[in-house]
Amino acid sequence: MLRNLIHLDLFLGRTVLALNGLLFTFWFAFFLWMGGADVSVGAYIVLTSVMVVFLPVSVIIREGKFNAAALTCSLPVTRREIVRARYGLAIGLGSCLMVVAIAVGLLCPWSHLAAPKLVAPRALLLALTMIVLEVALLLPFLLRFGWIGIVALLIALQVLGIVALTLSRLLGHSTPFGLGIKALANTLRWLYAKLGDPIFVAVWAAVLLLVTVASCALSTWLYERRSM
Amino acid sequence: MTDYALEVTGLRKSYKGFALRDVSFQLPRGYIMGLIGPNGAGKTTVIKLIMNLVRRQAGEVRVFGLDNRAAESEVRSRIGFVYDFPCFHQDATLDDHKRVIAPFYPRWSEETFARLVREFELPPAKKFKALSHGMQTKFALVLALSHDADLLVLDEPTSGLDPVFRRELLQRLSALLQDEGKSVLFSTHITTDLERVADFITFIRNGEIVFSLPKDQLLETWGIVRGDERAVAALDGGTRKGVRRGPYGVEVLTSDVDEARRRCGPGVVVDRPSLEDIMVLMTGEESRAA
Amino acid sequence: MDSILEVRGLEKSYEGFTLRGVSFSLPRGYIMGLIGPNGAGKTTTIRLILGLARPDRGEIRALGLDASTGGAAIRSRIGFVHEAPSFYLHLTVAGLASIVARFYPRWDAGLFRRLAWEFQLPPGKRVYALSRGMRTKLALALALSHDAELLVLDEPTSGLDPVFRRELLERLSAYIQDGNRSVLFSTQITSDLERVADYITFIQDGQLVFSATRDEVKDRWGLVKGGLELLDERHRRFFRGIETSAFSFTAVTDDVEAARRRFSGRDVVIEQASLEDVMFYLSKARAGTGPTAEEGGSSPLGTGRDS
Repeated sequence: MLRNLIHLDLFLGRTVLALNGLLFTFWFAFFLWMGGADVSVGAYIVLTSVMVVFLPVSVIIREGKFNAAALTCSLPVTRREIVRARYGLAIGLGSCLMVVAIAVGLLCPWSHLAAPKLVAPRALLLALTMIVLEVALLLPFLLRFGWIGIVALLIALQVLGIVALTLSRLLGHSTPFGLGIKALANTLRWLYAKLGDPIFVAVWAAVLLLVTVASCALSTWLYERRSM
Repeated sequence: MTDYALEVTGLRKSYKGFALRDVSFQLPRGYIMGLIGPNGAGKTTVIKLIMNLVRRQAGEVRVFGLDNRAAESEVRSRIGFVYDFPCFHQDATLDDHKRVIAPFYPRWSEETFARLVREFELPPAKKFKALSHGMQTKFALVLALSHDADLLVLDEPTSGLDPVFRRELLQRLSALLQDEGKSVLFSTHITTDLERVADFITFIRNGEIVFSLPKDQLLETWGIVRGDERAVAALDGGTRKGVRRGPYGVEVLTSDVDEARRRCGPGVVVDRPSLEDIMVLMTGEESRAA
Repeated sequence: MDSILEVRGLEKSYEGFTLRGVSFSLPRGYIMGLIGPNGAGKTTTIRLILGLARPDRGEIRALGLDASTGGAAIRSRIGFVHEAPSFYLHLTVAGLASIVARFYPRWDAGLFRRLAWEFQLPPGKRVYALSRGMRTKLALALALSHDAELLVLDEPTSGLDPVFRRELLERLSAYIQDGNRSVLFSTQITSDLERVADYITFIQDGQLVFSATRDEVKDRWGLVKGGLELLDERHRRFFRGIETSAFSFTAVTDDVEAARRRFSGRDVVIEQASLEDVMFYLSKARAGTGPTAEEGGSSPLGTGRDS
């Protein structure tokens, strides 16, 4: 059933998939070109891994646009299975696009990224972390509120960003926003460093698994109560 | 021990401004039940609750003896559905939909699908949004009829279809019942279609079941008395189901023709009601639940 | 005879579809129902009458005006109801009325308010908040508020419950009471027609099958049922449509009297055909088991006006 569900989303969304996949690929290349030597492996990994999740999101929201969620929910599957399939799709598809991003980073003639660093386990694990966390955050919204939820979330984040930027402009650099960004960057750097340690990796993998399972459980609970 | 295709008991669901209360009825295996009621009465809600598209607040729904929530997957693998709201991917074709839906049904038949597409004259490679309303309805019907479903749950499956196709569809449904023991729950506004094929009629109004009776019993023991206010007074009581006053006199709906004749005297004119008459007379002033 | 609408020899071709030889007339003070299978040409005919498309050939006179020259004038005197409004959804009932009012010189705001009240349409309610049946009633109220002499409705009852449908039909009956106004409406729900229509026009595959009074249809069309052995070539050509099963046949004829004579003494059942029966068995003709509307079969009803 899970395979059938994933096939359903992928097949019906194949045009969107192909189009967006291509668009993202170009964007990766463009970003590398614009950034030139200023782009570090870490920054590239973080940025692209955040972006790749939007490919499966774009596929999943099609259902909401057409009210076709009622179709999926009328098939002989449980809502739990539908949610699980979506998580599988999101993480799987996001990872596939991540591979493409890395390939672009390696193959683009104007890429200044150091190849060994780019394909190092640390980098891959960092990417996986970002993907998993993003999926865990977005999917409950997406499944509960549909595409409107995602749009609302993105708009909220934009607004937050604008407010923070304005504040930082008014109050100078050592503002909550500036501090927040610094803190975030430091956390990521710390993580990146720690991912070199195999024991940490094992623990971290377990944490990621737990986060995914918890998010999936929440999404299931929300989706089961959603009226079609 | 009767074998039931569908048993609905004490179903409850409330939304803002609307509530479904204590809905109960049963459909024995191998029969067709028509579900009628004014717009907004709750027919679509009942169907959504049977399909578990919407979570019930109380009550039970059993399909072939299985709870439709505990055995959700298995129950729905045996149900062919048609909704009165669009639920398909607008940019996808019939073939696209078939490719993704077929794997979910263990008894999917490619042969049946192909035959129905031919007989219904559907273009399999045309996008859903490019189809006319009638074609879209046929689209849904083909998918519902191609996996040997034991129970068909159809919400306005004839909307936008001409009488010719409707009659052929009804013939097809009747054949399914007779030859293969399938069961059908069929909600529609075109009551003449139900008069043609339904075995049972369930009337829902304002979120409540008004009656659920065998069609023959309904059309034979219920009647319309045409007269004046005296008739209304004479028939006062439990069997008077509705009254309608018009420019040409009064119509009174009774659920017991014999009793009506006794009360009103031998000269009274009692007509056989159509389902439409029953609906109209029971959706107005002074109508009481059976 | 004062006809409010006269259609003669109407012809119109689109890619893949042709309307041909359609003629009928509707006198003042009557209701005409237009029936036919999906894609038969009902909507095309209505569009031609309203002057929304020009016929390739033929003549349309409505309200005494020629549709090819006086289209705008005709449209200002016709009330048109076409499904439930799905436009201007964010407007209120009153707001939509004020927009529509601008198109009609004889708009009667007081009448609209009264109708809105009668139809239970709150003036401040937004169109999107109205149910489908209510929207149809709104469309009807709008169509009735500019002193239209002819009401044209295209499938107004599709998707409406019997209660709404009956109310709508009763209003149409009331509308023609003054003997001066008429109604033309197309529908798939033949029982509605049997309830209120005085005239029935049946179009199939772009051609007129008949246009006659309801009584004429009732008297002249019938179903003949009998054993297959009775069905030879002569009889096949006589019927307008035939369905056969293993041992018997059911056929529709437009001349019940002739059928009675033809089969007198034989073991057949001849009964009245409902409009739905007529439509159903005529569709069988297309499958080649009987004559089409063009050839064969006596056609006393052809394209006639009422006699």
